[in-house]
Amino acid sequence: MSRARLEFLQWFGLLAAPLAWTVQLVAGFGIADAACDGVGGVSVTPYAVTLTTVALAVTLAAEAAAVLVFRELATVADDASGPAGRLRFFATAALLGNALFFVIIILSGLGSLVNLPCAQS
Amino acid sequence: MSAHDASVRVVRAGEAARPNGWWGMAIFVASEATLFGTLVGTYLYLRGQAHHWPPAGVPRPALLAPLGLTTLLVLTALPLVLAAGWARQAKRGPAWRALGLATVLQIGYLGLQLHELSTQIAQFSPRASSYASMYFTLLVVAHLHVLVGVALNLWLLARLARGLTRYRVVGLRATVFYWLAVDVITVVVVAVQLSPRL
Repeated sequence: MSRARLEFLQWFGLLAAPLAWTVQLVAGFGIADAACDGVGGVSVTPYAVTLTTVALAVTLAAEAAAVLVFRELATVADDASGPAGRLRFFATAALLGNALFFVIIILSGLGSLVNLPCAQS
Repeated sequence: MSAHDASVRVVRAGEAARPNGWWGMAIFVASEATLFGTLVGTYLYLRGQAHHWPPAGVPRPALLAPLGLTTLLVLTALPLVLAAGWARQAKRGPAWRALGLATVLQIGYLGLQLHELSTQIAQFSPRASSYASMYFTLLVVAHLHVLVGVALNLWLLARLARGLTRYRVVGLRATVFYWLAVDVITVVVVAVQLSPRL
């Protein structure tokens, strides 16, 4: 695998899931706010389901990218210096981080569907 | 040669990169940025919902002390960056003294900020309003980050006193990166804190 492809997969594996969660969170807030204000008869449910589904798909793709990089650099030591060490380190971090973001995205999606969106605690 | 070996050789042929300790700190800083992003977002949301901000009876934040102290904290970036540079050049003495100077200034900053905080808590309770709750939450979380940074500095000072190793230089570089992030975060927090004066 070329260096450029490894770099792309590593950064995608590391950053895609948090970015997907950010979009889900911010866009979800905007949609819920619009629905509560009664803008154009906006309903939260279809948007929340779509946002959550897309975010989960992106997270799974990011996890797959991290697995590819991790396996490709299986012979590199954990504390290796240089780009190889960084690629493997971030791939390892992404393997764990993406699993966390997968759960976070599910819980965010469930929260936006189950909670009454216009009731402030 | 296997495909794995070829991939490893390709990336090892690249430029000298930052150590993993530095990258680990980068991930940590990103998570801290998320924390402060949500806090600032909450502050702005609550402010947008409020009729009076700060609420009646709560004094508007003072300008002089926060701006002066933040300037002091940001200025400590200079000896920290110098310390990291000297450590990479194996100049242990200058690196230790620069780190020590920065630590003394940061402890002074923290002491004065805690004094300011205790004075303000005596004036209005964090439980009194959403403004007070967010105001003190932002400040306390920011000060906690300074406290963690001071603890890292003291640990590094103790380690560097025994000599320079690659591991310690990486630790110093990661800590300096942490402080630069704390400086940026502090500027943002102070801007939010003083925003009712604008």
